[in-house]
Amino acid sequence: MAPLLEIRNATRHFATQGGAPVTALDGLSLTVADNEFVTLLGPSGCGKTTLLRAISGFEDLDSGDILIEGTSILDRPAHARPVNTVFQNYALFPHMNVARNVGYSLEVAGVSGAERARRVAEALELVGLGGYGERSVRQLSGGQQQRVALARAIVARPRLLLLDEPLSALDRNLRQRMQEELKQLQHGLGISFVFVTHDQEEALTMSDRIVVLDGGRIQQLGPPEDIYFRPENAFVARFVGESNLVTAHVLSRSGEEGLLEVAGGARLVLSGDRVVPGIDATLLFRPESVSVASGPEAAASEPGAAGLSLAGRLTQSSFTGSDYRLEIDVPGVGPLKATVRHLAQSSSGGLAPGEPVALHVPSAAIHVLAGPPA
Amino acid sequence: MFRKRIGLLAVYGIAFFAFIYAPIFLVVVYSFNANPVNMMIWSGFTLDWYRTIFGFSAATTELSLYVESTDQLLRAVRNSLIVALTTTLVSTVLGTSVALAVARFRFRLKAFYRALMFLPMIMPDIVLGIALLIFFVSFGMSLGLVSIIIGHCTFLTSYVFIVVSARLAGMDMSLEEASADLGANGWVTFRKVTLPLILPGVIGGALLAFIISMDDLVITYFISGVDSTTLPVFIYGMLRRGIKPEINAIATVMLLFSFLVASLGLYFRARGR
Amino acid sequence: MSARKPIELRQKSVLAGLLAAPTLFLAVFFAGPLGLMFIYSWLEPGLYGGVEWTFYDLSYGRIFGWADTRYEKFDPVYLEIFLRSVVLALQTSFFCLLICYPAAFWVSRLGERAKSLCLFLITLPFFVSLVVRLFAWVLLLRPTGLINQFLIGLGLIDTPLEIIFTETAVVIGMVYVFIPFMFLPLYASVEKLDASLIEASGDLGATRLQTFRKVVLPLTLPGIIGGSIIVFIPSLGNFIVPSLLGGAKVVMTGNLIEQQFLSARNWPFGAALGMTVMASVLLLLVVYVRLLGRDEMPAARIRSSEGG
Repeated sequence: MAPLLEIRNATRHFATQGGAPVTALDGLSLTVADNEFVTLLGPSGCGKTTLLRAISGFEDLDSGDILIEGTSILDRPAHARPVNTVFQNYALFPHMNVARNVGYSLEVAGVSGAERARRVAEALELVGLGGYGERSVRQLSGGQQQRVALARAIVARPRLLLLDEPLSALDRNLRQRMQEELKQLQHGLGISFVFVTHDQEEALTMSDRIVVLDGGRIQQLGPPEDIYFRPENAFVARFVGESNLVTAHVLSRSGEEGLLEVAGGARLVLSGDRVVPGIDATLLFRPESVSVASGPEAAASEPGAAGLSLAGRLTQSSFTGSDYRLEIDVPGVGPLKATVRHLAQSSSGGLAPGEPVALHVPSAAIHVLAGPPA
Repeated sequence: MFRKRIGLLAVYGIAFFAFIYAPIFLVVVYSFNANPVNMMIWSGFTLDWYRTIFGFSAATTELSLYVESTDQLLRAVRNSLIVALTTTLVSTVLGTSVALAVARFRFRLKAFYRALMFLPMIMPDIVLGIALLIFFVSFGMSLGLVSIIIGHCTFLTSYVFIVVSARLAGMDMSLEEASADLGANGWVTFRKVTLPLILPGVIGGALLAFIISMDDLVITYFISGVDSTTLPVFIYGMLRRGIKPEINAIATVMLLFSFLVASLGLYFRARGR
Repeated sequence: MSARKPIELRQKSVLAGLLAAPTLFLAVFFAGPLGLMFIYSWLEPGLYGGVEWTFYDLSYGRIFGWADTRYEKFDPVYLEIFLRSVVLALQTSFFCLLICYPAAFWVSRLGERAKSLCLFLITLPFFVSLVVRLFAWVLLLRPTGLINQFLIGLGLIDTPLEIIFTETAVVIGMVYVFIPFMFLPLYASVEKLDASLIEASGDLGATRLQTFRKVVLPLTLPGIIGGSIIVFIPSLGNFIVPSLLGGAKVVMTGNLIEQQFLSARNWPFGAALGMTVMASVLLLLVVYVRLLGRDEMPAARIRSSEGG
């Protein structure tokens, strides 16, 4: 059976004034299955909005195809496409009340008044705005407007809902609540969401699958855990979460394991396909995987531990409430970030910048990227 | 010291408005003056001049039988209304179309169209008037209501364009996309979303076009035929032949009409916000 | 896949639909007449009105000085009338400015409600018939008019002053009629002026005259120039005001043009005069746009504020 949405080799360039054309989509292919929450994640200008607008029917492709259940929709105008959109600024009709906004697609489709009223009430109930039908949209708060936009987009039960950074205008608390509600709503309705955001935390929280985009190309596609812990390349590693990237030279390989040496001379043993002798490997580890101990002698104290041990000097330390965020300068490697719950030398209440420290990252927390750091 | 200067400025401001309104006020007052010989010398209250212009010229003397025929006056009023209503309709459609095109689409000739829409407004009336006269005559078009309507539309389209454009500038483009996304085709989107939202601008532009068309003298003067005199041309002709008291009454009625339309315009403007 | 662009195609057809009728209309009935007028101004006037289709540059010659030596010596009367019109239009702009400038300051200092009331009252005369407004001044300026009655009543004069049918009367009439045109762009500039700048200037030791010259004037200059141009344009080609308040004694270019079309029936000469007026106006606008930039297009501002 054909997937719900299939994008084949979509390419789009935009002319710029007097300059070279900008590539918004560069041969991008993607499928979205039924009842799936897919997030398009990337910095501004990565092509995510162009892709969304191409699906909803507001942007042409130079080449490629967009199919819904196996049928190309490129020739259909926006109003004849079986998808609905939640716009970034909500785009609520200011001259209509909440009920008319929500019922707009039914009104346009010629659904009778009573049936329309029933389904509008149902949709409003679903987004937690039961009884708000007669309100003017101008009287609503940002969060309420967001819900009305959502109700309006789902009232006709599209198979596919497109959401264009719908939470970006909300404050942090409301955004977190809406993230959960959206996820529940998507599961409850059984429709697929294609969600556009530049906020990696939002993407990680909500998605079944994340598509990381840059330069109009898919950088990585996979479930949130893969994206976070096993990024394909340096772009994904840097864009999603905080990361430390260290270049290591592969000295030798025996069986599954290879011996690597980082600048400054520290060595470690790692396994995996990407460890190829003679080639530099890029190692990724997250700040929270780093353990920190005070004093250079600490590093020497556990030479047998598998992983990467480094010695450096603390340059910055800040307390965030639950954690300490540290920045450590390691000679030859550069500054590294570490997030630690307790400092090893907790009695003194923290480390002072300038103090020598020892770092350790267990092998299991080190991920080898494909290709050199960008 | 500072306060004193503000006080002086206020006195000036009031004088300024007096300068603007005193002459108009004068016309209204003297339209009720019974003196038929020297209309500037007050000799009692009368409604005779109003009776005269509306065709009940019972009490008028030979001397003041000035509106040769009330029929002529009424025909001029009728012509003016026909011209203004038709012009308003046509120029509102044309001006709104260009405004929508310029606001909604990206195209190469956009700057050209913007400039084109300003030209008729900055063109001196008399230049447009004689150009149209030459044009109509050399193509053998008879001068009449049609030529006046065409002439008015050439520059009133610009006025509508300006007013509607101002309204469109404040409108969120994604509303139309939202409508299309929810299944409304282009026409339904226009009817249900675009038009209701720009309506205050469209009505404002239409009222402006109506009032300017009603009041246009220069262009109409050149391209109106013998039988298609409009009200301003008619009054202008009367004034050129001499000042008679009936003109006060006609002017007062016109003032009343203008104030009504202006207030209506203001009402829609307030509602549009 | 082929490089079809259905969305762009649909947008283009909507765009064409929106622009087709206005473009056609303006091409035929706006560009057409102006083009024809240009052609006419270079044609030979026919004997009984009408034109001969031969090239003839003496219509312009009559204005600018290459007179037809076969028939007449160059008579600078037309050039004089044109220059006279320029002077009267400049005077009109100047007096409008003089009258409106303090008033704009006053209105800009009022409270919100009073401010919008004042703006309404300024705009209202625009909706009042031009002929009616001029008629009021005929009543005031005539020998038996109110001003003369008043002055005689006070015993200041014995015989009525000849105000009507003078250049003064024409300028008064044009100033009165075009005051809203001056006020609105001027007010837009004055309102933007931050009052604290004036205080700051005074604080820094500038006299009031210095403050005006160095702070207020430069900052309100766009409004001053914009308003002056909007007043100048309709004044230059005006023929209604001079014909009602100037009579036969004050002839402006507008009256001259009117005569060519309605009594003298020398259309090419009338067209040449019209072209001269139009060229002056366009020249003025080009200079203005060069000086102040596109955004300050004066017509845009006043007229949208009147109508919007």
